[in-house]
Amino acid sequence: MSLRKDGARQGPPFRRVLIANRGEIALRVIRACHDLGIETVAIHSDADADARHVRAADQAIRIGPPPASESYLRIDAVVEAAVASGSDAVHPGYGFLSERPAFAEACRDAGLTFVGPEPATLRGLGDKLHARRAAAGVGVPVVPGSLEPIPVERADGFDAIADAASQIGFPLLVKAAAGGGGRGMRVVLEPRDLPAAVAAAAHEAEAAFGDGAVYLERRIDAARHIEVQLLGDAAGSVVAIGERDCSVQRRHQKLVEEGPAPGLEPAARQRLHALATAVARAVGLRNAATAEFLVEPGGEAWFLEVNARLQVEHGVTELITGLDLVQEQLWLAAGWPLGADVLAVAADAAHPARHAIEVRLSAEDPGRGFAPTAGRLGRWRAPSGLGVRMDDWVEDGTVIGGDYDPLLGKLLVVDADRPRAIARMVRALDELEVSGLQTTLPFHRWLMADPAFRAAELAIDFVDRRWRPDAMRAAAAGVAADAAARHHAADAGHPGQVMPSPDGRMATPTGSRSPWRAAGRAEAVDRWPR
Amino acid sequence: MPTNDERIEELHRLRAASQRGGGEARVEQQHDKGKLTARERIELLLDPDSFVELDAFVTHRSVDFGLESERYLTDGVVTGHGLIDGRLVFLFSQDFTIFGGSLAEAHAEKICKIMDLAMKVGAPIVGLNDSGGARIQEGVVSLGAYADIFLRNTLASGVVPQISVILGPCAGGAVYSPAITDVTIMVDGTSYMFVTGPDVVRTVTHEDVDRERLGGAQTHTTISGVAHLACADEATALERARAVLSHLPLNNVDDPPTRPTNDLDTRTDPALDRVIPDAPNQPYDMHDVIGSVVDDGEFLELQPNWAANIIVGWAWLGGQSVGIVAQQPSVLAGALDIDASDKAARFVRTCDAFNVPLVTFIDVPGFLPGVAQEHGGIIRHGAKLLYAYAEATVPKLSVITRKAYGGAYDVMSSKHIRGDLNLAWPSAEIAVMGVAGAVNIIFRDEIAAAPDADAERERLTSDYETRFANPYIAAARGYVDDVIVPSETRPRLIAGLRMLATKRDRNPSRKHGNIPL
Amino acid sequence: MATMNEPLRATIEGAEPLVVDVRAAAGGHAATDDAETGAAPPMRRPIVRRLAGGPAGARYEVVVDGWRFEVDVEPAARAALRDRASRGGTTGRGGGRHVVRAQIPGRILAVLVAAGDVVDAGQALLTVEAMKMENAVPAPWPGTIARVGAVAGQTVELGDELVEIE
Repeated sequence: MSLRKDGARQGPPFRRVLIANRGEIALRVIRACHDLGIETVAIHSDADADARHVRAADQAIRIGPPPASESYLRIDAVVEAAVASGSDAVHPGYGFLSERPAFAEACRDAGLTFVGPEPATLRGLGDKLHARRAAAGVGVPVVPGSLEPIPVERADGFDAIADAASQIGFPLLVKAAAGGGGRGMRVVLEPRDLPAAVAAAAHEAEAAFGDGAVYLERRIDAARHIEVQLLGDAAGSVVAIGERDCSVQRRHQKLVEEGPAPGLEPAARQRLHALATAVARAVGLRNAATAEFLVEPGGEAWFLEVNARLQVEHGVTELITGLDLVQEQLWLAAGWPLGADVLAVAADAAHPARHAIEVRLSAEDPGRGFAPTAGRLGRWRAPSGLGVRMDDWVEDGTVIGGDYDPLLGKLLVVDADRPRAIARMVRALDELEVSGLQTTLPFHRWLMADPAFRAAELAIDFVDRRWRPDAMRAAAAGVAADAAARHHAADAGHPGQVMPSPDGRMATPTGSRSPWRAAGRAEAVDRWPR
Repeated sequence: MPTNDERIEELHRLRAASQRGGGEARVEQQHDKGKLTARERIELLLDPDSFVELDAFVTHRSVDFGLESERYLTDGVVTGHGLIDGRLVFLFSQDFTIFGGSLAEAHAEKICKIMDLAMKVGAPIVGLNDSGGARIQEGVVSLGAYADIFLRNTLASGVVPQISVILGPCAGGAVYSPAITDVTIMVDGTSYMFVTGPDVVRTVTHEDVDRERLGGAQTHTTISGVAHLACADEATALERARAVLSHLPLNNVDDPPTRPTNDLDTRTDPALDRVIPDAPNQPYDMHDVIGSVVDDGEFLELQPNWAANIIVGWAWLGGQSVGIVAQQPSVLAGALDIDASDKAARFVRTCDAFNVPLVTFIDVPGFLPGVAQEHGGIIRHGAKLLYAYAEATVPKLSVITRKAYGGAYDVMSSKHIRGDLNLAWPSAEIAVMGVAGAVNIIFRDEIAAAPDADAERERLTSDYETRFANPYIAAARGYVDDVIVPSETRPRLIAGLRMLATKRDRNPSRKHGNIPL
Repeated sequence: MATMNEPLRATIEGAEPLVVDVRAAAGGHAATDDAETGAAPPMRRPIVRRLAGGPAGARYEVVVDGWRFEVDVEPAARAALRDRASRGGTTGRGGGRHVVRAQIPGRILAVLVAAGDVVDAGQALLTVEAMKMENAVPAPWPGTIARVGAVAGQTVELGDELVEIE
């Protein structure tokens, strides 16, 4: 879909790129590289020796046993693989090492281009308070709260904390400065819970991130989570190319993303994009990044944080704009300025012509609080057709364990407007066949039919308020019991005769491969008088 | 001449008659006792609609004591074949509603017929026992009939699996058929086994005991070790019989079954890294280790309450049926005594006979000391376990979790008696005896000569511990193949099983070995 | 008899068993009530796959609209028989008392039960230190503790009475 209008760009930006990741994102990056004529190097743990990203890459290097801490998180092993394979750049994907300044530094020190921001930028953004101060410094509204770590250690510190808290108002959040993914975060409903929450959050943050610094922030319940996709080049130009609404989430884990954010007037959209680019310039952004905001029903937008990497949900923006964000990342990392087509998209970003939705299909049980499930996939038939894109990495028989995150694939659709996109998603979800383990599929089927979702009544507490799976699951159980019984009735064999074995093959009751008969015959022949 | 239709009708009439057993009144009595009929039991045991009956038209030929006027089709036992999990089994089910399930010539001929058939086809035999004993009216013929069955039980032993489910009385000579079979399952409260009943016991030894205490399910699974499982009811007992067979091959040249699982081969369990207490005198429950390692934590334990210092049973590991033998450190410190040796020896031979690989978890401080043990013949009984392990040619894998002391180390699937893969945890201590004992013997003179004997003993003990209480001395000699992180036990054992899948080994040609019985 | 015509019982863990008369038309597909379940979309054809295991050897994986279940199927009559045989069994072991004796000389570390306690077979009654190890003495029978004949700290000889269970 992307017509490359920028004639200035020549030849592939790199000769060979190592992808420091696994799963669907590794495949995604490999595809972009191959589209550009770049050779790819995959890395893998023992658990992924035969994974699709390994087979798709031009070469693959084993970096360790299954636990991520002994493989995908080992900076030394990954850099060594990149050097040994003769790669000139490393793409970190998302997660794993993508936001570790030490990794970006190690790449640079080894003479490799890190596809992402400068180490210093990463280091600054790793501290959420740094980003909050930078945003506030350029006049971008931040969620009301502290801008410096609160004095947890000081003996007289608690009075100061209580003061700050009463200014912010309750309920509020205690958040880890180095945090993410909900870790090191506590909700405080009333003042008397504050000391315990601060201590717990600081302790958890210390354990999870090695940094116990925490700060206070007002809790905004009814808000939507909207993020702006940014691209920046080495010369300091930063543009916004669209936004995504990621309000459908649970415990700070996004489940569904869509773009453009429903119900946003062009002026409001433009303003949000302007705020995002202002923050990005303030923190010295280069390459791809996302600025996250909470947007209240009245339209007030509060800055949350900047993620200086490719987002899981970047495909939503790709489907709307026709850009390939991974390719853009590679050009930008190689030092090229923002392309003419990027600038054209940015200029028109307030008036998107299409609507895209992404659902995350994960090995989680939505009937049991989205608890992780493990096992072997039986069947995996991905939907396809016009306007449907599946970024997956699994196939029939793939074993899903506890070593990595539970994402199986991202299903994306695009159409002219939101109702049509939803209709297309309903169709695509109907086409998806998955067995062997419980996935989030039933949640997404429900969501697409839910009147509140269809009416775009979105907020970050949407799932907690509306998702009530028990009756749905019970109804499905009734259908399942009936289907199993009917299948069984149709499948029954003759008494005492040939039966289908559990693997579906026909077998005699003693087993057609039984060596009993062969052994008996051999013995009989052997004993014949000679 | 009857027409063909009439002949077919006659067949239906006879067949219907054979289904009725000893009549409604007796069936009702059976139900009132909380027992199922012979046919109901078959229905629960087998896959639905898979039973094919043979010999429904057999009746006795006796003309003595008025029996000639009392004939029932089937002669008190239902025999035939069917499927369990889609796999063939032969079975007999004694019908207590006909002559109290008593055994006589025709009844026994039916049992012998299906046993002979099972031996030709190579398929397991399941006996559902519910019989008042020999049919006395038939006299010595009944005795001969019992022996015909015993002989077949013996000849089939180690050729096809034989399972006995005791669902009612099984007394006198009749007990020796289940006794020879591989696994015996009983039901609490309704089944009992004894050679002589409470009345005879009272007369001869003046001991007052009821049927249940003398030979009930609890007695035989806690005191005598005669039976392997005591179940709360008949449904459970029959379900257990299915479960047991699911772990065994159809015959001794077949491979044991496999069962697909969603449990990952590569699953590790960090809890195992902490299962061994830091203090050497603290016990832990070996069931935790077994449950963590095997597929889905499922373990079919036999004789859990008899000789509980050793654990035996079947599990699945990477989808493969395996026999587990494990010391239980929380009972008798896991020491080997007479009963534990007997229990494990029998189980090891059951697995070896049917090609089921053995996985042994070892934490053994030695053989149990004491006059009672020595006088009871611990030498003779311990030798059975040694013999069984040494003789076994199935894949033998072992994990030493903590202690492996003295002769008990040798016995427990050691490298020296053809262990195939011997692993040890870092907490393993492979030694002739415990540290304290060793120090007292080796340094007797030094300790005696020291000014402060206790301090010297402590110093020497600590020194000895660091030098010898570890797995590396044994590993240096190759007695253990590898020292592994406990959390990785499952993947390592599964890798070992796969590696050993085509193992072949043989014993010298002989009539049979002479195991010290 | 290519197909089975008798009623079947399908059981899903955690749900009431369902008896299905396979001769009747399939009715389950329309059985969802929108008001009750939320606005569930129309149901799709389930994915059905045979698995190993199950009490009757017939276990299926069924995926209905993304919900995955394991379903055990057996003839309803047989299932009813199983229920009857499950209730019919008595767990009694006849009358009388059973004495648990020391299997090994040692020192009582702790007594874990008191007279009147109800214990399961295999439940630890007391711990004895012997062979330099703490050993749990398990209840050989289920029952009620009639008498405890040992106290913590006491040294016991082989065969000493420890606990009596009725």
